[in-house]
This record gives sequence, C-alpha cells and structure tokens, in this order.
Amino acid sequence: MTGNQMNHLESSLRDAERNPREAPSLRCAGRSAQALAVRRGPSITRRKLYIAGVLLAALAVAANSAGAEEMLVLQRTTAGTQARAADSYMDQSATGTNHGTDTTFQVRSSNAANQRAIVEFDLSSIPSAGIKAATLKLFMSTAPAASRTYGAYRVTSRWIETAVTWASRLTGFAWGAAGGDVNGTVTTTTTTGTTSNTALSWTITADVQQWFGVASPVANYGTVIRDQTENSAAAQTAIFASMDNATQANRPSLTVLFVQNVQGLSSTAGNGTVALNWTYPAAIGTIVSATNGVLIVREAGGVIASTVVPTDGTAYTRNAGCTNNIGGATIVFSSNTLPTTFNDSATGDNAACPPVNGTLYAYKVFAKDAANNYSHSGTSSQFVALVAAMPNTTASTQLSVKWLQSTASATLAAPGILPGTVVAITTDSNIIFGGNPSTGGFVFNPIATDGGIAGRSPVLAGTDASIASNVIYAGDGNGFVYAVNATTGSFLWSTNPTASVANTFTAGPSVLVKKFATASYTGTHDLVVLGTRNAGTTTGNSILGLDGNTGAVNWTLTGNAGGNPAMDIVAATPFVDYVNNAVWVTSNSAGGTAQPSLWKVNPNTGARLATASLGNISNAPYVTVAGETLFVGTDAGTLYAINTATAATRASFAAGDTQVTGSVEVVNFSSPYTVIFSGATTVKQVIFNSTTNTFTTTGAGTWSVTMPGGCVPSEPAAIAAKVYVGCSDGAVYQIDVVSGVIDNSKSLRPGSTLGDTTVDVTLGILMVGSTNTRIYALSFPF
Amino acid sequence: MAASVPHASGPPHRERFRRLPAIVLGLYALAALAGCGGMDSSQVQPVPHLEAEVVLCNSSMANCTSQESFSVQVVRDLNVMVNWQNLPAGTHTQRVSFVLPSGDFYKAYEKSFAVEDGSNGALTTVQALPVAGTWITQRRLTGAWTVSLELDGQALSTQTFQLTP
Repeated sequence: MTGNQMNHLESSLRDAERNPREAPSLRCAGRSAQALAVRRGPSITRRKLYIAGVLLAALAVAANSAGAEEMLVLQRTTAGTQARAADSYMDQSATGTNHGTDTTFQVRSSNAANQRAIVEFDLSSIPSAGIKAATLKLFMSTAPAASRTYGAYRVTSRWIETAVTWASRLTGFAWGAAGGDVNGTVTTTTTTGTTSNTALSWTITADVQQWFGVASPVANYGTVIRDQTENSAAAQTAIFASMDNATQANRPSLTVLFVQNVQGLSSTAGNGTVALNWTYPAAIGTIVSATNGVLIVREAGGVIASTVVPTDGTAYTRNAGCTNNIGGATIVFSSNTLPTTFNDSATGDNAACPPVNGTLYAYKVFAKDAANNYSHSGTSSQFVALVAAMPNTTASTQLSVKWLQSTASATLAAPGILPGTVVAITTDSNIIFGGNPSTGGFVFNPIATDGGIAGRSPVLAGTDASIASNVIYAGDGNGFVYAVNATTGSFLWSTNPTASVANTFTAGPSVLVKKFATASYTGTHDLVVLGTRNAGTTTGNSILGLDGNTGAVNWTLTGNAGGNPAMDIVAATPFVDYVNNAVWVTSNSAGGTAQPSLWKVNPNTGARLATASLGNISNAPYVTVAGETLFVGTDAGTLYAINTATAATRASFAAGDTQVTGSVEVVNFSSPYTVIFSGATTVKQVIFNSTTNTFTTTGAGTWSVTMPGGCVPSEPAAIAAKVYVGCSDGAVYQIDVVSGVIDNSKSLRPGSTLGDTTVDVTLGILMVGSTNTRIYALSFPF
Repeated sequence: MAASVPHASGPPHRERFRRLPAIVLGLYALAALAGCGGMDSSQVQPVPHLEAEVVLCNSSMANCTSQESFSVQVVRDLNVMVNWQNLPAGTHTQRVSFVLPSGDFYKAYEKSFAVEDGSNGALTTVQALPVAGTWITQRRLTGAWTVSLELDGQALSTQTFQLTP
C-alpha cells in the first residue's frame, strides 16, 4: 500500500465508517488510523466469530429465563475471573509499603499506625441493569481482641493493587488524603465481634448503584474498610483473607441483586404512531424473582429526567385518561407478560393517549419482576432503556431512533467506532464503555479511568493493530493514557507519560498504524500520538509519541526545550500523514502569532520538522490524499492551505464567521479540492487549487449555509453526497453537498448542543453525542 | 482530580457568594462528625459551624479575584476556589458540578482531602474547569452556567456565573 493510499486511509475515519466498500477514488474524510481497519471491513474470522456469537446469544436467550431479578456472587475463583478486581491494605506505620499480593489484609486501629483495607470488584459480568442490593463479605480469619465497628467507604480515586500504599494510590501519585481518598460519609458499618474465622458483611447498595449510573454516576474505584475509631492506644487488629488467599471460598465476595434492562430498544415513527421494539436479556445469575413484563413511560420534549423511575414494589397501570404519571412522564403501557413490542397509537396499544404528530417524545422501558422490582438503580438512574421518536405525516419529518445510550456527562466528541463491532463511548465522567453499534447495548461494561475523557477515542481492529487486540486508545483529563481491550474492557496498559496530572489530554489521540506505514516509519509498534493541555503554561506543552503495545514513551517534543520554540496547549487530535511520514499537531499560540500553532513532527524521533505560526488553533488538521496540502482552520476563522513540505502557507481564506469549528472535510482526492468546513454559524464549501494556490470561495461549486437560528454547527461529516452537522439547537442537519441546501434535519433534544457525528456504514447508522448526556443513533440519510 | 490543589490558607482577595445559612451547615457538621471515624476520646466538644466560601476566578490571575462573568476568549481555566472553615477531622470528598445554560449536566469533579485531628478545619481547594480549547469554546457553550458544591454527598451551595463569547 502506498503512502498516498495510507494518507487517504488515515484521513478516512468517518468516511470509512460510512462505507467500507467505497473505492479509494471516492471521498475521504476524518482522521484516524482506525479507518485502516475499518475500510477493510471485518475479517472472515471476525465475521465468523460474530455470527457464532449471535447464535450463542440466541440460544442463551432461549435457554434462560429472560430478565427477572437475579443474584450474582462476584468472587475471584478459578471459575470466575474477576480480572479487574483488586485488594490490598494501607499501613500508616509503613506509608510506602504495598501489600497488593499478600494473601491476607488487615484493618487496625493503633495510634499513628492504623491500617485500612481496600477492595475493588470487577463488575463487568453485570450488564446494563438496575441494582437492587449489594453486600460486601470479607472472611475474618483473626478477630480483634475487642469488638470493633468497621465502616465501608466509597473510594473516590483510582488506585492500582500492586502500587497502592498509605501514601500513594499509584506509583508517583499521592492520595489526596493519606490512607485513601474516600467519601467522608460512611456507607455502612458492621461490628466485628471477637470470634475468628467468621464472615463480616457490609451493605454497600448505594455505592454500587452509583457505579451503575444513578443521576450523578461515579466510577467504581472500590471500597475502603476502616476502623471507625482509629488511633487506639492498644492496637486492635483484624485479619481478612484476600483475593490471593489459597482458600478460594474465603476470598472477598460481592453479592449483587439486580434486574437487567431490556435490550435493543429502538423506535420506529409513523403517521400518528410510534412502535417500540426490544428483546429480553438472558439470565446471567440465579433468578430470585421471575420476570413479569415491562412498564413504559413517555414524555414530550425528547428526554425524560433520570429521576423518573417507578417505585419498587408498586404496580402501575395506564388508566383511561392517561393521568397516571411518574414524575413528568405518562404511563403509556404496562404488561405482566413478556411483550417485545409496543405500538403507541390510537389503533394499537394506546388508544387512551396516542402520540401527536410533530411532537418529540422520549420513552423509558423498565423491565420488572414478579414483585414489581424495576430495572433502575434507586431513585434515579442513567443507564436505563430509553429511546426517542417523533411521529408525523411524512417519512422525512418523522424521527426514529435506532438506539439511545446515556454517557453520564456532556459528550460532544464523535464516538470512536469499529464498524459493526463496537463503539467506544468515552465520557467526561471517568468511565469508558463499549457499545454495540447495532443496539446500543453494552459490549463491555463501564470501566473507571483516572480522569474524564473529552476527546474522540480511536478504535483499531486487532487484525491491524500491532497490539493484536481490538483496542481503544484514550487520553484523560488527569494526564493518563489507556489502551483498552475493545472486546473485554480490560486495560491492556495505562500510563501517565509525563508523571503529572497537570499535563492533561483533552483531545483524543491519533494512531500511526505500523502495518500500513511506509518503510520510512521505523518504530517497532504502532505509535500513539497526543498533545498536552496544560493551561498553566503557554510555552511548555508537549507532544508525545507512545508505543502502542506498551504505553512506553518513545519520544517527547516539548516547547521551550531542546531548541524547540514555545508550545501552548494542544486542543485537537493530531493527524498522521503517511505520505510524508509525519505527524501534524495543532496548538494554541498564546493568542498571537509570535509562536507556532502548527507542528510537523518526525514520528520516528519526535524531532520538529517544521512549524507555522497561524494564531490559536483548536481544530485538527487535515492532509490531502496526495499529501501535498494540509488544511486547517484557526480559532479566528481563517482557513489555511499549507504546503506540507515546508509548512508554508499556500493560501488563506478569512471566512468571516468568527471561528472555524473542528476539522475540514475534503470530498475529493486531487486538486482542485472541494473543502467543507464549519464556522460559528455557517457551513461553507470552497474550492482550493494546489497548482495555483488559490481558494475559490464564490460561484460554481461553492456555497455557504447559515444554520437555522444561528445555531453553532459541529465539524462537518460528509458521506454519500450529504453533509451532517450537529448543532447547538439540538438538531442534526443534513446538507446536500451539491446544492448546499439543508434538505432535512432531525431534532433530538431542543436546547441541547449536539456534537460531532460518527457514521457506521456497515450498519447504516449515524451516531451523535449531546450535552444532555446521551448518544443518539439514527439511520441515514434522513 | 486535575488541578485540584489544597492550600493551607485562603488567598488575599475573595468574596463570599451565597453561603448557606450557618445553621444548615452546622447541622451538616454534626452529621459529618457522626459519620466520620474519630478518636477514642469521648469528650463532647462544641461543634463549630461548617462554612464554605466559594470564589470563581480566572486561572490566569495572580490572585483568585472573584468574578461572576468570564469571556471564553480570555479565560484558560475557570477556577473554583472553596475556602472551608470548621471542617470536622477526617477524610472528606468535595464534589464540584457544572451545569450548562441549557440545564444539561456538563461534568463533575470529586476531590478528597484529609483534615487532621486537632486542626481548626480550615482548608482551601481549587478546582479548575478547562475552558480554552475545549468544547466550551469550540461549540460556544456560553450563557449562565451553574456550579454546585457538595461535601460527602451533601449539597451545600449553588451559584451561577456567566461565560460570554
């Protein structure tokens, strides 16, 4: 494969997602090496595995009772992996000593020599579900001399089993509070007694519910057990079996009672009708109470508050006038059988209060058991089955949602995706989870990161990635970078490459895939490239190249160091330029043009090859397939065409729209280029000729669309002769590439801002995040 | 959390905005004391009222001078400084949440810190909200924002501020 082809592929993330069968001569767009895997489509092996997985899943559904209230005991045994589980204890008298591999852990009250246990369970085996109860059990092999009261506290920071000490949560990273960062209010307490070889239990339902997405979900960092009256004059110590104890039955366990959500919830709107469809999950635990059907609530406006949840133990019905409500939502359906559809219409299942054409509705579907326990986690719940729809008289004005998933925080980055396989839902709430792009269901459950993730996280196929696993790469707001197995959710590696929480990563990384690089790239493995956003300096930020297999730092380019000029914050994803064997990175420039804002870097060494001073840039660059020209828009609203050999300006165009928003789209492969970009309130198409170095901004082949109501558009995504932008009025707009006319739109959540779009062409689905903490999946074109 | 830095004392310039009635926070202090681990000593001490003073400022300013309006063209990080007084001894977790002008939840930061037994319970934390080069500037998420403060799961105060284009 030539470098030109590779540049196309690197630049083709979104386009490749849209149509992997498109010939290379067609349009390109986007910027991630995951496209390399995408364009080839799933391998035969993966297809077979996928088909086999579907069949197995179907058999499992047939073989098990669907839904129900279930109980699962999580414990590290040879049968249950608990791969992400961990435990240790922290010793105030040896503040730097780690006990992560000990076969026991201790809780002690002793003056200035206290000890606290810390334990975390792998919850990945529990899918999208409402948590009803959770009990932590520890086996006390040695009791204290006098009975003590031990409290369970929710941990609030990430830690690692083999590094955690009284002083530090990770190597080089101290706790905010020595002895463990915990919620100051104890979750629950239990008394130890004085009898050895007994099991102690703590009810930590509230904490597990928070991990599973109550209104303000938090990441699962585990639990600290500590004496409620520390610093005893005479030491009081209890010893517990750890997860490394030889007696498996004595290892820590977490018993969880839950009700799974329905799966694959989608909506299909019609004229005065909305049809909902779903399936029931296979039981994964011991059934405590059988499934008894579903309860559906509906609310106009496109979203239902997370606090709208039924009360466990209460049976609800829709009455004749549809005046039975939960919060602001109307009960529109209740069934004590196991329906898989609901036809919300006057002639279907809801003659009492059918939907009104032109009204945007949101629906929640709660599974329930025979005792009317519902699939939500307490008084509010983020991760529930919900969907939106708008009926109307014509198909083009209807809204049908393939799926809708909570992200627990505002999400404006385009989701990373391995088409047909997994969508990486990375959130600013310190969690990552893998979504099924077809149904929105969890491929792997939320896992905790150190900080929030605001940028797009690329996904590579294992057949292409040097790490040989389907992999998600992500950088977070505490300066950590992760490689996550996109199938299992396990960390392949994590690192803080600058050993600082100040050097944050707000933009997603880019990946140079060795398999597709030219011989000019000499790295051993794939290269993960990202830049720091340290707002405390306008001169000393860095660009880093990490080994994709290990996370080791291959090189660092730092502003005002090693002969480099000053470097302000990096706020956009780098671009891997396969043709020129280079990485392009944009940065701010302290608000002026006295220091560089465009950097060309050697991916082998991190050496600075060229720079340009264009003023603040918060947008990703884009290099053409031919590799001779780079396009980038500045925060001041100027679109530049840059000579990739020298980083000199070929031409510029002051677009007159305050700013350029996001990266550009280039919809053809050779000059003259058709370039589409967003501003503050417009989307424009211009022509650039790299032979004459001129922009054509008016006349044939150009257009400018002012967004309705002056809403702020996302960066454009072009596919199949249409351009899609999410806007700050809560709608996705479809613009015809030829005419520059908005020919359709879908309002998802009026008032919210929609983010950059991702398209899975394997499935024909467009995905877009929102400030209302949701990702929507729609069929396209509209 | 990133950029959350406990300080030994408050900055020289600060303004109080919306402090909850002392009685409410005092009650909270009682609850917090009841929930936290303590010493063996069983002496009953008067419980001072917990106070939380919140200051919003531009991170680029030398001192955290209180502002209620910020231009996204100027501010790099928006710092939320909380000056705690009379915190009970023990470990605490502060949660600072931001809500967009649309009413949508933006994100929250948790920060744990310890208050030594016998101290006066004074502590200052600074939580940064990144602004420059983020979605806030790129998508112009301007208008009246809300910042809320919780301690150990208890809501303490809410304040609005303006982000201007």
